[in-house]
Amino acid sequence: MKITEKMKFEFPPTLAVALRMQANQKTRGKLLAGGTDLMVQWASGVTPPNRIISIWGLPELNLIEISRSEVLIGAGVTHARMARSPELKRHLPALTAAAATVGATQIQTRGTLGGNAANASPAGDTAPALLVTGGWAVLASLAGVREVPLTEFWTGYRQIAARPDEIILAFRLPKKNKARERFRKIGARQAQAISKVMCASRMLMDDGRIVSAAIAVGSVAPTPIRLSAVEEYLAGKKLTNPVIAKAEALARAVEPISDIRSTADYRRWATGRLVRDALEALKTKSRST
Amino acid sequence: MSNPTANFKQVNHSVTKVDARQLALGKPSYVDDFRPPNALVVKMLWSPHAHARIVSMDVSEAEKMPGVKAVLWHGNVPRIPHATAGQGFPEPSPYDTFMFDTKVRFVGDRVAAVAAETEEQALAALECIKVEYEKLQPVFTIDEAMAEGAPIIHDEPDAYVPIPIPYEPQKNLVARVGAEVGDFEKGMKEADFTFDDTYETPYAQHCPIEPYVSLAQLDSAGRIVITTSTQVPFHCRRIVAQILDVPVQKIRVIKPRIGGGFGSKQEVLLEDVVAMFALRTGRPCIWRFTREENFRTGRTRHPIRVRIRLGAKKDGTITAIGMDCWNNTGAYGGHGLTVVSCCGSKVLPLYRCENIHFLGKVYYTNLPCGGAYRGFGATQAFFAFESSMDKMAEALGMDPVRFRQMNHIRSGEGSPIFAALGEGKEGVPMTVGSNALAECIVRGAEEIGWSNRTDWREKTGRYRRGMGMACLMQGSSIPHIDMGGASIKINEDGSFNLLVGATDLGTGSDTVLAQIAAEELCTTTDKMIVYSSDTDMTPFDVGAYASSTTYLSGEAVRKAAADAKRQILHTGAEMLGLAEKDVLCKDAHVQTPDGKQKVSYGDIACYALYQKNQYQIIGTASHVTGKSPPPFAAHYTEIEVDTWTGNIKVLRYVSTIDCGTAINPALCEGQTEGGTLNGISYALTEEYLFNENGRMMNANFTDYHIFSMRDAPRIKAIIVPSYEDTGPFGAKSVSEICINGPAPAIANAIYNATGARLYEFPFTPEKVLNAIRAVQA
Ligand SMILES: Cc1cc2nc3c(=O)[nH]c(=O)nc-3n(C[C@H](O)[C@H](O)[C@H](O)COP(=O)(O)OP(=O)(O)OC[C@H]3O[C@@H](n4cnc5c(N)ncnc54)[C@H](O)[C@@H]3O)c2cc1C
Repeated sequence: MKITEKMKFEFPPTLAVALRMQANQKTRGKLLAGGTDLMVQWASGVTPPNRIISIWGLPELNLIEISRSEVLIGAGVTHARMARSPELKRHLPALTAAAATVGATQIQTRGTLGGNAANASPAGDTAPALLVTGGWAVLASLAGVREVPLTEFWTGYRQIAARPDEIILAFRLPKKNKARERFRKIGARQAQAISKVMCASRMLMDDGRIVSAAIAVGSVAPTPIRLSAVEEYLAGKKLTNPVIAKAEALARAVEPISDIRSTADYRRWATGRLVRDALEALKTKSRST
Repeated sequence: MSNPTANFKQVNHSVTKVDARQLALGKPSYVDDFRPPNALVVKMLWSPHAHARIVSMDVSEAEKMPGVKAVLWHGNVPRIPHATAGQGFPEPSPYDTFMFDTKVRFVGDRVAAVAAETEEQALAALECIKVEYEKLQPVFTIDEAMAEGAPIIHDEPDAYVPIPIPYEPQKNLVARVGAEVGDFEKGMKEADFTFDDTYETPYAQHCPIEPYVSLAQLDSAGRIVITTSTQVPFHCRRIVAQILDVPVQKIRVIKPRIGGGFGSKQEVLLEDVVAMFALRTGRPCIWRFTREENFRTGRTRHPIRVRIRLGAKKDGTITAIGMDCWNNTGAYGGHGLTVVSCCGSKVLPLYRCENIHFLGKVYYTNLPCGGAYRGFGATQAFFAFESSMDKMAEALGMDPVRFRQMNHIRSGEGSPIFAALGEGKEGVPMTVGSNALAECIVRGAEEIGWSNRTDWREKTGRYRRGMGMACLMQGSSIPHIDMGGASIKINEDGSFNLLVGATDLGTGSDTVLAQIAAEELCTTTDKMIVYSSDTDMTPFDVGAYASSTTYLSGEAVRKAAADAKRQILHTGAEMLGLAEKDVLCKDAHVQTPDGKQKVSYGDIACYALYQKNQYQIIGTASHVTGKSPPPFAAHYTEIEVDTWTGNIKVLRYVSTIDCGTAINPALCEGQTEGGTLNGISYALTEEYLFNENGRMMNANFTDYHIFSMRDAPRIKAIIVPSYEDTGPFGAKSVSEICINGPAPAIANAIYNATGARLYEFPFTPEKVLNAIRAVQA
């Protein structure tokens, strides 16, 4: 018997219908987007819910809107679509680079940005890239739409700031403009690898000094995190070797755990190295991905 | 000398695999494709403990569960000690396994089995089996197993080993084997440089696409027909007969197409249970492992600790080689002795040396069980040995290639190791015949650009490139032990039924054997209808292991074909009214040398079957080899190390191979590339992770990392021909050797890139980084 056989599936035709279903305790169900997290969880023993509300393909969740200073990406947009979009690549290169490292082709074709964020795994690859934009998650419910800064979105291990009646509609993300972004992931292999550590950064330089630095890492804490101590230290600094060394050392203050993917020691070290990597790249003005 | 391969019409050509079409079209081919609609599904309750005694057990509730037709447990099956390893008989492995026992010895050991109408019903019934365990102290390492007063894993009085070899279960010792040549200590004293290093090699699983799966049903005569994913159908029949205490006559084992084995299916792990259920229920019963079961309960590569002591003179002469191996065989001892024996026998002859010490010891632990895995001990030992060879070359100030060129075995030379180390008994003295290693080394060096290699001390920056290499050998079948049989008969249209016990498990051996038969019979490969393997229909063959099918079974096929050819010539000559000496076989005809008079094989078959002096033209032959000619290989790789993260990228890999005549060059390249990739994955990313209770934590493809296509580097396979006089049309083996290269070649390349020497793999970023930090500190 298939896992899905005992479940009741709803396919709301519009967002409004989906929101109505979620508003009521009785009709509420587990949201299903691409299913690439959920199906794996159910297959590995997590008790499957009775009721599923599929939001896969809802047009309201599939928009990409580019305005002057921001990009709005629907929660239902797939990794494949992000990775292939030249415009997103221009304005949010860390995010598209992260999307391109998720699983492999099949997973990218099915997995969504909203699902990656809502699943709230510390190893979710797009999370650090979202975090460094300083943007917002746009949440919808029958009560209306509200926005939560991404820095407050991941509230604890596998927990997010959305209420049970809310659906993530989109992510409103400031463009990088003149800043430079970078995303680097360390995994056990080139594809289908859950990150040991990954790091995204967005940094703006002016006249040889760092105007602003946003650096976020994943897989080193219960949630994806910004390295605020490093960011604060870097603000206004020139990128000298001692500054880079100090930033790397500060980055190593993270407190990761050891698990089957890596050791705490390695993760601490690699976090420092990935911060150095971002700063060196900035210094040498290599490609700004 | 004229090139014997020049006139080959069938062998040494890349003909299409005989089963390619049916597999590409998805036709029913594999065990599970033959599941009858009324088959019961088998599920097993596995031990959650690494080491425990079953104090009490109650299956009565499970027996009453909906859909349940039978439950098997130690209370209702015969208790017969046996080995699950499919090897020659009597086996060089202890009889330390019971269908069900009152003790469990690893997480994943059998406790009780259920056969039910559906999988859900079987799983639900398992939940109702009540087991009370008395937990015992587990043994997780070789050191714990060897320790004074260690818990005894096999304390049952009825375990024994059926041949006279050391077996001391009260010390957790499964086997011990050694060899001394010359005077090792003296050789070490004579050396200008000596090394003494210890290496560790890890667990790994074969990860065939098709997991273990077996189906048993009773035929109308009441015989048990087992269709199973096996590399050893005949051993399977014998072992199932033994476990069930029924005559061999009552059992038929059919091997359909197999979705890969790589050694894992040289084992009888499911067949006894499905057969017993079929007997008890009268219903067809199927059991297929999940991927998790494949990892936890399926067989693995034995982790082995290898100590290498090496001595050499300033001029590069090797004066002493010492190899001590400690083999962790896990909870049951199958293949323990033979694997450790191959650490010595398939490695030590590679270099000339007068003073050799070898000692292999095998210990039980409460971890998953080692078994046969491509490379079979040689893989583990070559990592250690070829790493030490590089260390020695550096001490001598000699290029590692040069050092190996100076010392490697040549054609016409023997090694005392061949005679000293066999499979549970002494080996067979042998001199090496075909040997193109010298050319392999040169061709590989050219291809990789070895002359551009620089010392690690000259390298700077974050990304550092390094080159490494390793020389390798293996064997081809087990001399005087392995036997293969074949028979071949002609049909009215000049086609032939080729019946072989040899076991194609996806390797393409049916194709290779058809080519050999066609070559000998002067016809074409497409005229062969190959059937492998079915214990009711095909002659005996030990099965697919020990790199034996092409060399051993291939020669049986060639001899059977020669036998049929004699009969064809006889009848053809009779039809032409000529003497046999005046005709020959050519292009599926018997003809006069000038071709003026000829008669086709089809007409000969019709004549023999229907017209005059009728008989069935049928050739049959068996083959046992007197030698195990080593294939040789030189592997080269160039890698890039990210010294910041410890990440290793294999940029290029060159696998040269001397497999004698490549019967099917495309398949040989396939084996070479596949084995190499298999080895790279083993070297870099694969590992068994256990928790403190001995449970494997990553028994799935998410967390057990085999290489993906995106990881695959450029692999260049170069077949360097030689001609092995004792093999069919000059062939020897190709399938195992290639997995031996990547671990040492990459280890040597990491050293060449960074100065960091790793004694343990997989070379994960964590390990590499630690080693690099140690060098830089
Ligand atoms: C083989 C494989 C490899 C993978 N590799 C990676 C990897 O390398 N990196 C990585 O980060 N992830 C990886 N994943 C995980 C997964 O693919 C991603 O997290 C993906 O983005 C999830 O999206 P989805 O649409 O499939 O989510 P689903 O499985 O449909 O949903 C995931 C969770 O999000 C919730 N959800 C989905 N959409 C919304 C919404 N709009 N509003 C509120 N809640 C919502 C669901 O209820 C559920 O709890 C992998 C998964 C697989 C199977």
